[in-house]
Amino acid sequence: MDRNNMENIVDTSGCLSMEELTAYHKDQLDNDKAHLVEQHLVDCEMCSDTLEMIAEHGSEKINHINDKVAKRVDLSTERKHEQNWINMAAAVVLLITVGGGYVYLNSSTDGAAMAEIKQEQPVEIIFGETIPVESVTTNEETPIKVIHRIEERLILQVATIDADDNIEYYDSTINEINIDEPNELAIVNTIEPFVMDSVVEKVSIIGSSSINAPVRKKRRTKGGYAYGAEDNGNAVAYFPGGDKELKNYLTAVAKKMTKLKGEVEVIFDLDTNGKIGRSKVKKSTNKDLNEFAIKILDEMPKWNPATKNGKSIGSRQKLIMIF
Amino acid sequence: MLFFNRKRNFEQLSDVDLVQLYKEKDDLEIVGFLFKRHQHLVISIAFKYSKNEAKAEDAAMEVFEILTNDLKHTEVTNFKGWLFSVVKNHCLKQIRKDNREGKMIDQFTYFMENEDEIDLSNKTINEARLDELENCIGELKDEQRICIELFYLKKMRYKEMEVETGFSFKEIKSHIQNGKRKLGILLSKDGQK
Repeated sequence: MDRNNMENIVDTSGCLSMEELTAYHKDQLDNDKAHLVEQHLVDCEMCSDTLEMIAEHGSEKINHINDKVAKRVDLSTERKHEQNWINMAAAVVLLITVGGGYVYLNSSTDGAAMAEIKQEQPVEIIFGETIPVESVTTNEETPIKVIHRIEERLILQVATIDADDNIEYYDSTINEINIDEPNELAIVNTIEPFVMDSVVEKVSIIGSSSINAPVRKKRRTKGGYAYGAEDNGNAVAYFPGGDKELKNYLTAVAKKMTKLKGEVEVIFDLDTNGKIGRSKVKKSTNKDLNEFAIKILDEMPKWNPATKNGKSIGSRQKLIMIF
Repeated sequence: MLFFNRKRNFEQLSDVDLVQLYKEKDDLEIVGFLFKRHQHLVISIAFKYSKNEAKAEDAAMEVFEILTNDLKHTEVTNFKGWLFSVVKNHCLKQIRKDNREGKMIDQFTYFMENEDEIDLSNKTINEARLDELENCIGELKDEQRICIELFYLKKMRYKEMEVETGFSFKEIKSHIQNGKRKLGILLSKDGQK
């Protein structure tokens, strides 16, 4: 028996690369190398599966998915770097629609669009996304374009975050929206230019409500919105203290409950007293978070109910919790 | 200098070292690098299970998320084995979700056959050990012995073995795998004597 070859039985080497597997599949390797590949395949179910897939679908297809995933991984590692501020707070970005208003939150994992943002003017933001703005300076008007699926006219809330992570909120109205194809990504008209009066580092669209709700004037606020019956006794339901408080509240609660990460979209009903009634999880990226999301809703304090003509009415709310 | 060489340093590190480094530094770049090293494997498995490109892509990303979370507090000594079970479990979970009746599950159970990884590598090889190994090979069933000998000692390719032995590809693979497992058991028995 050949002693030299005997050692191969106990050799468990590292996994094979895509190139090696492809070359093996195409029979481009010389005998020695091919044999090494086969030795590894005996031990490694993962590589065997990969080879099987290459044989079945061709290496191009696997490479294609490979590239896409690589980009997404790059993006998520980079973005998590950049947005440490948001992670540290276990940020809860929220989105509320009222009275049939419906906003589709674009998957924030869509990286391709993000990567292109920096070069383009005006700035394009995917809904719910936060992007750095390169050169927004004091008192400069910055048009912001929003891409997302919508079925109604919307008021958008724009938040700017300056170098010290101070968040300022702005409202802005979209004038016209193409709703012919609500299932397509609609490029929404540029929202009214608004003035930012501090040096801004990041811009994020963090919330919206439907146009059926009273139009809140574009203004800069500190400590949340002056919610309530501003317009003919009509008002949207809101968490005591406004969206900012809601965000703080959710952040604090979520942080206490779990270290898991993910997004959960919940719908719940508010009665005329602002008490949370039925609730359910609509979408979730991590099943384990569902119970936490419902628990958070159960324990949440009363909201201020929506009003119509001065009377309290029940409403349905949608909320996206990002853990 | 350390900064400039960081990427290259990653390449030289083993999977387990990278896991350790990630635990210490909590740097997503590390886990990203580690994931990319095995990414094509993860995708292929996900693709095999889901039979759908988009789903495979998403599953791979979800596995990546799992890695970023779980590696922090999981003791991993065999990263490949661990990763394989993570991917497999995730895909099975997904299939169960997609197919509540569980009809499809059966065809995937064969995955279990190779559950425990054969790891002979930590047993140091010296002349005495090789003698033992030689004896142990003699104790194997004929078909396993033939396959092991042809494959490892004569360095035959699968194709040649098919001609030589008349076994099918799958039979050969299974004989080699089972033979190896048996050898592991025999060797550790001998070691205890």
